[in-house]
Amino acid sequence: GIRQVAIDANFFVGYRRTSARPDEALLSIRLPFCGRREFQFGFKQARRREDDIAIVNAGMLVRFSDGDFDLVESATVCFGGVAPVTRVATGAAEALIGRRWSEGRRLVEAVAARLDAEFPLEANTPGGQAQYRKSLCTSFFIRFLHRVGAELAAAEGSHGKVGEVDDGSGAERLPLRPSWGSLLFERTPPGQLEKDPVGRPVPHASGTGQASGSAQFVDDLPPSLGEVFVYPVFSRHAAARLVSIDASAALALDPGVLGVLDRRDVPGNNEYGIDLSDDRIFADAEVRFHGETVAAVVATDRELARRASHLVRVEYADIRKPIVTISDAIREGSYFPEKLCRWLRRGGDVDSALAERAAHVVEGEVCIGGQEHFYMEPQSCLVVPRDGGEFEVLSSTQNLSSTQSIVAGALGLPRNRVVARIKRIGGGFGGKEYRSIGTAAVAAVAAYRFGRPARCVLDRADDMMTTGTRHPAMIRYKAGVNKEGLVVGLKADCYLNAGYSADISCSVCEYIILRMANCYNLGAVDIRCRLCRTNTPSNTAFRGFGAPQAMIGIETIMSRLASASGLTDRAIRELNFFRNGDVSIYGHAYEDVTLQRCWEECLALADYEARKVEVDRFNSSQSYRKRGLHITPLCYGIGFGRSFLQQAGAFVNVYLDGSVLITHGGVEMGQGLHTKLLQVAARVLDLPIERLYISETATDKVPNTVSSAASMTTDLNAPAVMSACQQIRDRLLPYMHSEPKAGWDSWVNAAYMDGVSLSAAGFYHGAGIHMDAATMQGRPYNYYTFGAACSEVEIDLLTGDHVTRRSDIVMDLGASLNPAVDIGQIEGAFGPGAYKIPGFGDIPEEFNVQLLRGSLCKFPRAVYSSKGVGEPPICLAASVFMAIRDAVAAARRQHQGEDSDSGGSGFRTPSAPFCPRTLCHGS
Amino acid sequence: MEISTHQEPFIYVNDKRYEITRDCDPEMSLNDFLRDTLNLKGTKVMCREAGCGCCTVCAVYKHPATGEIESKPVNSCVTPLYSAAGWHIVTIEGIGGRSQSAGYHPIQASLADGFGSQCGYCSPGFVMSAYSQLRDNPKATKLEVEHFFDGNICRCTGYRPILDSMKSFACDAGKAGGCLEVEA
Repeated sequence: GIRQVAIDANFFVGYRRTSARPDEALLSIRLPFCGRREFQFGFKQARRREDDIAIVNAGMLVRFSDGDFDLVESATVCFGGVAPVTRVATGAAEALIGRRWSEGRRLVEAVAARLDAEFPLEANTPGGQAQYRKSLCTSFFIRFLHRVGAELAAAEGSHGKVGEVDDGSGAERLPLRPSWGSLLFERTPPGQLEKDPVGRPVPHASGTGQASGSAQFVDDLPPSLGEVFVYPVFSRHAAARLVSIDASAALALDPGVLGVLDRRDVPGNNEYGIDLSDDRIFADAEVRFHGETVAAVVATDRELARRASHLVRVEYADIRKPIVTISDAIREGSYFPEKLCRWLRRGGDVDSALAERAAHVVEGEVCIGGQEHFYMEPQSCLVVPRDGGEFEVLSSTQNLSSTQSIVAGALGLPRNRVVARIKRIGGGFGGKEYRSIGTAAVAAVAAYRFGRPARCVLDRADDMMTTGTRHPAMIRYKAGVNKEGLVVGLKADCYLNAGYSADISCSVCEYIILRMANCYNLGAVDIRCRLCRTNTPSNTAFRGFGAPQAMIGIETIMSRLASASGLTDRAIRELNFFRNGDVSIYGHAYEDVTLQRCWEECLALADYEARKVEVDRFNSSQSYRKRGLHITPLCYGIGFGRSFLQQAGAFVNVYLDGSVLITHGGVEMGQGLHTKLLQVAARVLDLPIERLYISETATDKVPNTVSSAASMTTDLNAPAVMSACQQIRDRLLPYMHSEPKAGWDSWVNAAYMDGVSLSAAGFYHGAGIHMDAATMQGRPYNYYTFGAACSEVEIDLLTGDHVTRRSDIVMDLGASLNPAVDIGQIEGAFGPGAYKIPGFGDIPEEFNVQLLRGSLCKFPRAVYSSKGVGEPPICLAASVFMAIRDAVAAARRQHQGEDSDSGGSGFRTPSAPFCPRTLCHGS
Repeated sequence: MEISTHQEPFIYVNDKRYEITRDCDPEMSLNDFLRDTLNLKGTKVMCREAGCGCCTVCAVYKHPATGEIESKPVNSCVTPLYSAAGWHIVTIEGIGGRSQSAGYHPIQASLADGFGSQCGYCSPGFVMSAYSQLRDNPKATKLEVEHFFDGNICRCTGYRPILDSMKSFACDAGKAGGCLEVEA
């Protein structure tokens, strides 16, 4: 039969369970219309605007008395996100009955008191953010109050006044407007030949392939005969002794489950690492984080391997309370060895500098949360055993040579038996610089043990559980300015949560210190960074590599110094900008500084001063909304910090039809590397770009490559490609001279007939870089990329939600090799710098990007005077964070009469809605 | 285009009819069927919980209540194959670019020319989201086009170039689409 049930307080009976019986199917849902006297609205707050589950949502209905549209006859108020099930707030609804809508604030107080009693979320409640979720309940009621009030006002002859406060901003959530903007870049110089593609917006070499789905990623390769699928078994404890692994249930599941591997199956080294050998392919005696690979199931298909992986029984003993956060680690004294940590002191004793010369001193703490890389293609690897003990490794990695060496080490083979190769990867952002290797090694061990091709592709949730993120950071600082507003000293103690293993954290440690000065002269500095060892996945490289954390740190400090000294945010920055010849904190004089030009062009592009006035006017007239406007400067040194890392190779083949195949050491991960290298090669060879092709990157074509990282991949690989192309061109010169009109194909064939080699290896080494790890002095960079960004945000004080109304960016990329690709890097880096996996609604409504005109990179070995771009713009996202901070400060001034210096402590990234909300109102 | 009128164990994919065999795992997703059985790897897969949109395909079906033929983007990762019985699925391979000679669909070409793909992993999903909704609503406005992609994530581009490429198909699009490009 058919049963009708009301969706009321009894409908939800448990977490994700309703009163529907197991043998019943849902046929229809009936939604009654609202009567004339009824008003109903729904509310939701999530971390993102689209496609995200609610933190809290609410549905509210009020029915007014017949003949008196101010008197409440009955009401229904229900909330999701405050209990395991959707809950009806009976008490809150009762509190409304017989009350008048025009009571406004007193109605809110009555409801808030009942909600507090009905939803007593404890601080440790599942889902967290208890205080914020409680405040959202009240906020949604306030919004309901205003929205119904507006409806009543609109309806003729009704009452419609909602208490004392109403400027309209309480009723609606922040609007979503269509996005628009402008991009500005320079034309190529007038004399440049039409066919010379350098400096032109050449489309991405794989663009049409990607847009049509024919571009292949690792897991798109069809399985070969006999291929097995491998799926890891992850540790369910964060700190425990590993007693035993029982595979019997997994093996009994299906004959297709071929085996379960653990550390005893690794023929060579189970350990690997850069500074310490503390990573494990399979956990040994101890598990050190929840999600560590303990074993791996090998099966004939993917689904079977996944299913069987959950049946492997792992026995643990001595289960300990894990060290999770930086505060945990500080409390327990859990650090990595001192030799991996860094300390920079320069310009004399900071404490005495502050004591003797500072007129204003600020102290505080900045916390910067981790950030998931969220590359779209999950960690993936396919290992194919080849003839007589060779292994071919197709890995989605930024770091082919380390993949090759660690796989060879694991299999106990010399590296000349292992080829690692990849065509493209579906995003990396640092997350595949080293953390990709675990997946590759597990697949390699399976391929070795079973002698069959083995594929391992992590599910998204497992990928996020096991691979680590950007380093969460805490920066404790003390800084001071003199009477003129010049910074006289900065003392900073940084702590990075490195996770369970050292990975690449030592370098991140170094870079967070080097980046801390951003664009400023800082006087005496004492910056120390320690690596916390915790029972979490190993945190790793992330686009920016310490710079985003340093940037939030120093920009917060500068703004606090501005408040303390009574200067504007703009003035204190301009006063302290370094100029050509000033010496950096690492002891090298700045050259070719274009900061001032970027800054001034950005101020003009953003119409900064006029909009600052407008923002202040808005803030004084609105009670539920506040805006913030902030401009952030950027200096980003480009360099690998160590001379030996600045090398790259290339290999160029010319075939007898005249087509050219290029290979180099860099990995294409979307950044347009191949496109740019084709452009420069086309210029050197003087050929149309269509004659050139890049297929893949492989360790048997170009050996001993460095990771594709640090915004350096074009800078390193382009000179290698250019050198190889030049060699070929030089060999063809005699033929060009003797038959100038014959053309490329004829010259190539003539050279071939004479026995001239048509392939060449190119090599580049960028010397001149050095750093002393003990003193942190040296020259870590080749040159600097400068920029500035100005962002305006609006925050909703009821929910903490924000929109970025406008961002203007000016960047100096020298003479851009491909302005469209470079602008893509700027726009693409800007979003992820600020948000939790942004969606469409999170991008600036108006977004203007300009490349600085007439700029040439003066570094002698720059590629046609261009500059590196991959990472610098991610730091400019700090402008959004700082603008939110400004808006919060405006709210606090209005509501609590506090000093505008809101960021002393408590403000942290990511600035998910709960942060502004709780900081604006306290409780 | 053929569309089945009854629930039956058949599915059409890119103009071809396939039998859903009786021994097919009831939990098999449409995505597994496309990628693993038909070897159509243009449709990607990532989150397997309808959160990222890179597995989006176009489902053309007869609406059970109205009888109208509709096309909607669906997340193939959470669509059980059996629930798609009788539907006509169009994948990224079905609209263009399968061979050198076939040419690209204008949406594919526009995304590529507009620098809307960087790593490219999300691109087929974006194209199919746009394709499905433009099929259903060929006169979409720019504002409507912006909301086509609420279920798609891109981690590389910051979305602007994707939106600009796609907005060129809106009925109220100017020549420049969304963003003004200025060469100084």
